[in-house]
Amino acid sequence: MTEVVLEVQALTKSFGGLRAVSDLSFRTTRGEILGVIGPNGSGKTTLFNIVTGVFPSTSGSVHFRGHDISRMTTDAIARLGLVRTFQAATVFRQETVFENIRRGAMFGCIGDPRRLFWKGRVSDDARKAKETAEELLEFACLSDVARAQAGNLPYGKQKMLGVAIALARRPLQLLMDEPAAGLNPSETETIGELIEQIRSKRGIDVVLVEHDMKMVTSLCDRILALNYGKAIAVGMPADIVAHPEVIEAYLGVDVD
Amino acid sequence: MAQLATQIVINGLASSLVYILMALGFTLIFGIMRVVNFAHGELYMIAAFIVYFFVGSLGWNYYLVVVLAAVAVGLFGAGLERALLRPFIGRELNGMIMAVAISMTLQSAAFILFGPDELSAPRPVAGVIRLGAIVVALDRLVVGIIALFILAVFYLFMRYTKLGLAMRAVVQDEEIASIHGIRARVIHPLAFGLGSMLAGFAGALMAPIYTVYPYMGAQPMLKAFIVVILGGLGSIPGAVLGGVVLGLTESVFATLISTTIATMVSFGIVVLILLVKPTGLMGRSGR
Amino acid sequence: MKSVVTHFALIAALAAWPFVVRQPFLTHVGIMIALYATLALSMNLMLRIGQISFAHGAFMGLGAYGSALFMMRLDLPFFAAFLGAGLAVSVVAWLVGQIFLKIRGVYFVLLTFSFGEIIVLLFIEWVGLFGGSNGLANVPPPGLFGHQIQGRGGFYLLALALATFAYLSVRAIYRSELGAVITSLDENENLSRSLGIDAHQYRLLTFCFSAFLAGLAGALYGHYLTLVTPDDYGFSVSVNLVVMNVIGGISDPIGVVLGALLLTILPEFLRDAQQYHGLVYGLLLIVFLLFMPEGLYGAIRRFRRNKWEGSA
Repeated sequence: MTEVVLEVQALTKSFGGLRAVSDLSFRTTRGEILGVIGPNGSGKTTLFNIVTGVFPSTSGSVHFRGHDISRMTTDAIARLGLVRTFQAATVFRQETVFENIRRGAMFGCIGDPRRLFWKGRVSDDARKAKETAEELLEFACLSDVARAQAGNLPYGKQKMLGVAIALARRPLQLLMDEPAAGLNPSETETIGELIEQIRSKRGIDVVLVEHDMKMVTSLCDRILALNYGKAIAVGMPADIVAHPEVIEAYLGVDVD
Repeated sequence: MAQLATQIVINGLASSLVYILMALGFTLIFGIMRVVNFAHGELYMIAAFIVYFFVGSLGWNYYLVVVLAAVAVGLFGAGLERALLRPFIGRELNGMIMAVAISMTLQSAAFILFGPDELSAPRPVAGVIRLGAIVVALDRLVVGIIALFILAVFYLFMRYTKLGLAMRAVVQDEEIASIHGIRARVIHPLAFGLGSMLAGFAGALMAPIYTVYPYMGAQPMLKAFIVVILGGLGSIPGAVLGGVVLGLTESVFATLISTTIATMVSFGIVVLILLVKPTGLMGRSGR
Repeated sequence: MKSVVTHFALIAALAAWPFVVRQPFLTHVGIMIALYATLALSMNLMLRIGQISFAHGAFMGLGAYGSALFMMRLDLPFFAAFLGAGLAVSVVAWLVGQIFLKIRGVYFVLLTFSFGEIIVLLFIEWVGLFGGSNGLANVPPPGLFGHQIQGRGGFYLLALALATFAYLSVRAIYRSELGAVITSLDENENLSRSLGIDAHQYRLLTFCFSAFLAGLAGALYGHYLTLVTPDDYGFSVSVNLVVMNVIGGISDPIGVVLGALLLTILPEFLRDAQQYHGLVYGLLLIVFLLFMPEGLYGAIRRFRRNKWEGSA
């Protein structure tokens, strides 16, 4: 039950003279939703980018389910089952909503070009991809816009679509970059519910980088708080919210 | 040996300075508009034809026509930007294709008007002067001096005038520049016009040195391209440095082995630079 | 099913017409259309992944020199030399693509441009292998099943076969999952990679197949002319291919073929007024870039769709 999924050890990232992340260590376990919070410049984004393979760390390591992903590229990491979503709505704008999700499912099978030449498997995968797409359309409440062009959707729906696409990929763990960014309160609530269902109904672990404290405290099992590239606290929401250093870093942020 | 070396350097000096003028125009246009101006050689060519016609056929004063040609080409360039290139801001690849289209059209137009023959424009001065055992052709000396003068004026303009500073700001970071009120709509045609004018000066100055024909712009354009990549697309000091490096490298290889090998080496260096440090020897990293 | 019959009929008509019409000049134009259709389709693959390659002239040239040399120096039979040349070109593409394809946008174009120039200069400098500025003369004609093909009719059929292969394979790619991946790389590479798509390998695959087609077209071109010279394989080839794509229409292989057809016919019939060739090309390109970026085929499709919606 306490199987380690994501393990970050002594992670450091320097950009020239600036230390964006400093000797950071933490781990996530099977079945949990971990929130990562911190003010701007605390290293959340850098951490996120290192874990998802956008750029490598200066030192330290990242392990995902036992694999060392410290030096891997984004696509290789995704093929291992660690998928990310984007802070800005990121979809295939010229395709329909259905096609977007279908691609998420299909690309999960053919990430490596060599898979393409297994003809039999491909048509099998294609059929399953369609089924997955249908199912996820329902799950993300996008059935009514299935045939609409993704680029024409309202922003909130585009972000939901982004989550659906990532889910179609059948990840083992989902890393979400500010899922509530750009959403109004009701959309934020919807996406929060969706994330909870991702964990409970689909058994996918989630790591969530977020600013919206309300969402983070209600949704996450544990929270990791960062400041100046270092971990200042990690624990249950109630403890984090009361933590003196966290409060200091977040002066003026609404925490109820 | 030293004498040969000095002669090599002197021979290439006028051409190098002119190539630097071409490169500066090219890099200014790219730095500000992110457009790879494949038509740059044709702007050079148009100025050369203007010199051929007005000095050669009509007998006007050479120095006057150089200035007129450069200004005319500058205005023409600004017009091109307004009419044909403006829609492609942000779509670099399409803008590049448009520049290629303009280049083709201008080359053909020149071909139709003047035919394929290599024409001669009269030299402003003739003869040579001797510095010890070194021979310096007077016309190249004049070209070199004028080119240096233009470079100096350009440097002062970019360094000390408001407009020059505005342009350098846009090259550095267009977004931040626009926050300070520098508008693309004004800067872009100005930049393209100025870059074209530099190409125009280059073409007008070189017209009497070699021959004038519709495809004469291709070689200088290639040289400018290499110089600019060496120095960094968008970097003005880089264009000067690149010009010097290219001039020397080519002179050495051309004299010691062959011109074709010299060009191959130049392109090889371009490939290396594009792969290793696309921003060139002096360009800023990141963009 | 009707589609299969129409396709067969079309191919049969395309194969038969030169032997019915019997005009050598027209057959020549037909050969050039087929070759340029192949080349334009190869460029289309690159445009699909959002990258313009100015190296395709060089790939064509490498194919031409390769096939000629394989037959002349290594005594290989035609089909082996032909295919071998195509494969050799894709290997070259694979090698340079490893590093070139990591670069995007304008810089990639400039890289391929420089590479193309270096290759042409190599053709000129390496006189021992490539014959220098004079190139290779007396390139042996193709031979299939014991027959030598020297007449235009035979070359036409070969070129048509190549063009058909190119068209069908490119169309099949675009209709398959591979096509979806390729389009995704251009539409949103970050999203594609986050889903596990190895963007670099897919771009490499596309680049290599594109070079393969260009190499084959070049090989056939060399055998047809019986002469391979460096001037034919410079930067302007790639420019022509881009023009064909822009004017015909990038989004559908049929549009590409249409563009190749139109732009091959144009200069052949403008033979007498050759100086106007460049002017017409340039002006056409400018007009299309500004007013009809989806190309002729795209405009036709849009027109037909509007008519449908109008009458509905």
